[in-house]
Amino acid sequence: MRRMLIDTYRVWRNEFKVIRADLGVMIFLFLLPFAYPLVYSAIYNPETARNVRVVVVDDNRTALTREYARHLNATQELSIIGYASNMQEARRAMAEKECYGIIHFPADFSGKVYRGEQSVVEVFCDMSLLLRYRSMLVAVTAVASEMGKKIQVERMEGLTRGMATVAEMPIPFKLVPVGNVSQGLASALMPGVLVLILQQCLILAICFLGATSRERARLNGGRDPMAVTDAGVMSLLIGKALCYFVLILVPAIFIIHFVPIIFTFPMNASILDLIAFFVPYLLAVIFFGMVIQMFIPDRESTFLMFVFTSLAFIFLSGISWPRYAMSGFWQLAGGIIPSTWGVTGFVGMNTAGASLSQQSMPYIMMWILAALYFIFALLLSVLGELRKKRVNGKM
Amino acid sequence: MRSLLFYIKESVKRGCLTVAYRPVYYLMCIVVIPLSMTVFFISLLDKGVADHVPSAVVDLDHSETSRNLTRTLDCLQQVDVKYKLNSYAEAMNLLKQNQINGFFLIPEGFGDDAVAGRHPELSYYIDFGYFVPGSLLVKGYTTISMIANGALMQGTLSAKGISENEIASVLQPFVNEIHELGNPWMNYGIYLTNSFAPGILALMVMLVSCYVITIEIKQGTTRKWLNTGGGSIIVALTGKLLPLTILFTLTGWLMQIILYGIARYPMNGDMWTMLLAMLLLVVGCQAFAITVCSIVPNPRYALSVCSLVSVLAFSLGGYSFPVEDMYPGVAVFSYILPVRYYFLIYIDQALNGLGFIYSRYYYAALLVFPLMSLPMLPRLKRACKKPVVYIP
Repeated sequence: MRRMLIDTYRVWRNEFKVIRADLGVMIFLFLLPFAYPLVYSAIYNPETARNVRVVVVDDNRTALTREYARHLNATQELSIIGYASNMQEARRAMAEKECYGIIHFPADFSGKVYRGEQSVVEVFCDMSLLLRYRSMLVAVTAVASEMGKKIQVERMEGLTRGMATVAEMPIPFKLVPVGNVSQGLASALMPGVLVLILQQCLILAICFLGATSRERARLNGGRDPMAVTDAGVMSLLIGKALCYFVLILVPAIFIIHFVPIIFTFPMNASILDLIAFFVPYLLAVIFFGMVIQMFIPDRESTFLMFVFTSLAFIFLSGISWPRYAMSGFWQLAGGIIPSTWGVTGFVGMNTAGASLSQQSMPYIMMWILAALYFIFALLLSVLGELRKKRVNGKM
Repeated sequence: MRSLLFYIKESVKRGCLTVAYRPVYYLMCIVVIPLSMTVFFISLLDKGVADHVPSAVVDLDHSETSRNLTRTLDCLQQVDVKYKLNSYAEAMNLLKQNQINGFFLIPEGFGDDAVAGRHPELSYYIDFGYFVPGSLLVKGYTTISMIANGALMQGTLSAKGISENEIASVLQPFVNEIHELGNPWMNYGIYLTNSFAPGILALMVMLVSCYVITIEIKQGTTRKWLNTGGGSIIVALTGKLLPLTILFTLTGWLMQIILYGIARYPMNGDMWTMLLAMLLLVVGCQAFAITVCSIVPNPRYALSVCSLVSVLAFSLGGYSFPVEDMYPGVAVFSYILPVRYYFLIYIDQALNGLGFIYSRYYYAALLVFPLMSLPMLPRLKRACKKPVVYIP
C-alpha cells in the first residue's frame, strides 16, 4: 500500500515533466481552453437576427398599407429594403439574396378593413436559417396585433357603445423567461459549449500524451524512456489522472466562472455547488480520455479520429436538440458521455438556478461514469501489459 | 527526361499506396466517419420538430374554466402537460430538476375574474436554457392565451347579438398567412443535417489531406515523394491527393444520395448541381489543406490549424447564426471557408430550387481555392527539400 502511494506520487511528478516538454499538449491544456470560449462567444454574442431584409409587394397602395409597412420597418427584427412592383420582381430579389422575405398586401387589403372583415397579410420566408425565420415571425405577429388593436377599438365602438374597454385584452398574459432572461441563442447555447470545450481539450491532450508515449516506445524497443516503468498499473492510472486534474483546474475555473462574466451569460449557481459538481465531471472526462487514448495509433491521428466527435457529443448532450425528442438509443448513447451530464447539470444550475441537490441525477451519473471508465481503463491497461509481456517472452 | 505522364502515374501510385498501406484506417476516416455521422444526424433528428415539450400547469383556481384551459393546453401539439400542480414552488422545483421546460400559471379566482371583467393575468415561466423547447413553449402558451381571450370575447359579443363573422374580424382584424418556403414543416433535421453532414465531410477532407502531406515530413520521406513527381511539387501533390479526391467525392455523393434519395430531404433543383458542388467542395477543402501545410509545414501545427478552422466552420459558416448579424471582424472569416459556399449553393439549389445561374458566384468561389493555394507552394517545396528529423 505504502509502495503504491509512493509510485503514484512518482508517476504524478513524472507526468508533469512529460507535459512540460510537450508544446502540443501545453497548447491543448492552456491555450485552447482560454482562446476557444472567447472565439465562440464572440461569434454568437450578437444573440439574435436583427433587421432581416424584406421586400414589400403592395397591390393595394393605400395609406393603411403604407402605415402597416412603416410599422414593420420600425421593428427591431425587420428592415424593409424596398418595394417590388409584383411578386415576380420580389422573387427575383430574393433569389439574388437582396432579401430573405416578402410581405404581400393583397388588392383588397384596405377594402376588407373598411367592410369590417378580416384582412390577410401574406408573408413568404426564406427557411435557410431558423433564426431569421423566427425574427420575421416575431415581427409580423407583433405588428398584426398592434395594428389590429386600433381597428378593434373603432369596431367595438361601432358595434356596441361603451364596449371599447373589452378590446384591451380581457385576460392579459405575460412570459417570464427563467434563467436566460435575454432569450438569446448565445446564452442558451454557450454554457453547453463551454462544458464541452473543457472535455474535448482535456481528452485531446490525454490522447496526444498516450499516442506520443506509444510512438516513443516503438522507437525504443517497446519501452517509453520518459515514462515511469516500474510502477504498477493502478499507480500509473491514478498518478496520471491526478496530474491532469491539477493542470486543468485553472482553465476549468476560467471557462466555468470567468467566460460567463465576460459575455454576461446567466450565472445563477452557487460557487460551492459548481466546484462540487465539476470534480466528478473532470474525473469522468479524464478516465474517459484514458480509455479513448488506447485506440489512437499515433499522435497526429488524434485529430483525424477524435475532432469530429465534438459535433456528435454536443448534439447528444441535448443543448441543441432536446433529449426528450431523441430515440431511446440516442438517449442511452448520450448517457455514457460525460459531457451530456456535465452540460445538463451546468445549464440546470447556472442558467435555471438549480441547487446541486436538484441536479442530483447528473451528479450521480458522473460519479458512476468516472468509476466505470476508471475500471475500463484499468482493464485495458492490464490487457496491454499482458500482451506486451507475451510479445517480450516470445522474443 | 521522362514524360510528364510518367511522373503523374508515379505520384498517383504513391498516393494509392499511402491509402493501401493502412486500408482500414483510411476507409474509417474517409468513408465511415462522414457517412455514419450523416446517419447519426438523420436518425437523431428524425422527429423533425421537438413538440410535446414536457411542461406543467399550476392551477390555483380549480374552476371549470381553469380545468377547461388545462385540457385545451394539453391538446396543443407543442405542449405535453406532464404534471398538474398546486403551487409555484412545486413547478419551479420540477423545472430545476430538468423534468419540465416550463409551466403555465392560472391565478386564483381566474374563472370568476375573467367573466367579471377584472382582468386576471395568466403567466408562463419558460426555461430558456434550452432554446428549441423554449421557443416551442412560447408559441404554445401564447396560442392558448389568445384562445382564452378569444373565447371570452366571443361569449360577450355574441350575447350582444353580433354575428360570428363579425366577431372574428373584431377579435383579429389582421391575419398573417405565413409561407415557409422550402421547409414548410419547419423540420429541424432538414435544417441541420444539410449543413452539418457536409461540414463533417469537409472536416475529414481537410484533416486527411493534411495528414497524408505532412506524414511525409514526419517520416522524412519528402525527397522521395518529390522525386515521384519529377521534382514538381504540383505533380507530386496532385498524385498524392487524387486518390483521396476520388474517394471523398464518392463518399460525398453517397451522402447526398442518403440525404435526398433515402431520407427524402427537399431537393427542389437539379441533382447535378449538388453533385458538382460536392466535387468542388472536396477539391476546395484539399486546396485549403495544401495552403495550410505550405504555411506551416509541420504535421502537428498544420493539423492543429486545420482542426481549428474546420471546427470553427460549423459556427462561422453561418449555418445557424446569420453571417450578416455577426460582428464584421468575425464575419469576414466566414468567406475563407469552402463549406460556406457549399452551404449557400445548397440553399439556392436543393432547398429553394433557384437554378444554377443564381449560384454562379459560389461555384466560382469554390474554384478560387485551388488557385489560392498555388502562390504558397514554393514554401512547401522548400520544406520538402530540407527534411527535418522528427522526434516524437
